Amino acid sequence: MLRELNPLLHSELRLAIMSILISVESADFVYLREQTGATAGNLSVQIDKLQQAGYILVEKGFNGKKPRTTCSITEQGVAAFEEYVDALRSYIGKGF
Amino acid sequence: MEKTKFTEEQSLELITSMIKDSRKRLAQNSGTPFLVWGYITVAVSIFEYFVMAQQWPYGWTWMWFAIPILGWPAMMFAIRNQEKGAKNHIDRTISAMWWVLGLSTIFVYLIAAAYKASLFSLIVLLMGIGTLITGIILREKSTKWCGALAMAASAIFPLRHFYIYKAEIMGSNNVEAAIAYLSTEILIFAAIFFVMMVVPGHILNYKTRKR
Repeated sequence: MLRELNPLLHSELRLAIMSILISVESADFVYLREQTGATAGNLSVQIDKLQQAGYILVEKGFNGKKPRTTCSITEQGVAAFEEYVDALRSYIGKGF
Repeated sequence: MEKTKFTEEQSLELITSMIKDSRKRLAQNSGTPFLVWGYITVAVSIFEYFVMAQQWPYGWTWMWFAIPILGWPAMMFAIRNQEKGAKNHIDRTISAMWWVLGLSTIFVYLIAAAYKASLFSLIVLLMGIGTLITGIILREKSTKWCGALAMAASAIFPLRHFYIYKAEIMGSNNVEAAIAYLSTEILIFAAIFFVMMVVPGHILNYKTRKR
């Protein structure tokens, strides 16, 4: 039986954010915007959703005098991402 | 990237490409620290070679300290200019290792001074270990080879001491021969640093830019 894909991760931009954060310790907002090619507004909304789900940690600070938002994946986020990839595998294994 | 619905295949492709692109971006200019330390050490060594060969006053040998004095601000400047916006475990591991190795050079200096051991040999061995480990972590063959070669080359100094200095110069009062021996030692040190740091630094930067 095919497993249901986590709807929170099965969205292009949110999945892109999670994929980047899974491969780094932390990434700032500018880095995520440049890597995903998303607009600042849209990225901000999706980051908020992931944070509310407990998948990522958002820290606001300063780099010199410039404000800086840094994101990192939480343990809960790692588990959700792994589960999502496992579910994807089950789809691909069934002939996708 | 505004879509919310996409196929499972697209989803897998997206994960792969995001991870790959992010790794590529973070690997960029990873050879720069090698270039900073490599070029500064080679330049100071060549200067010290002239100090020795021309028999300038002893005070000029303090210029060896120009390596850390110039190196640290140059490194800070290079790192600041290459702020990548993200940190990964590889960067953190490599930079922690070099911090430890950098700090241990202070103790190596003290040990060499106390026991009259070859500082050149110990520094080359220590930095060779760092280069080899960096190559292993980055999975970069040329860096591994340059590090291993430097480690092997650290044996040149004790061998020269045994076969040339002890056999021909020590106790002979031949000042000219002693100066030639020591100045050649500095040139060997500079050459090893060139192979150990400058060469892998350029190769690393070239490869990451090409990707």
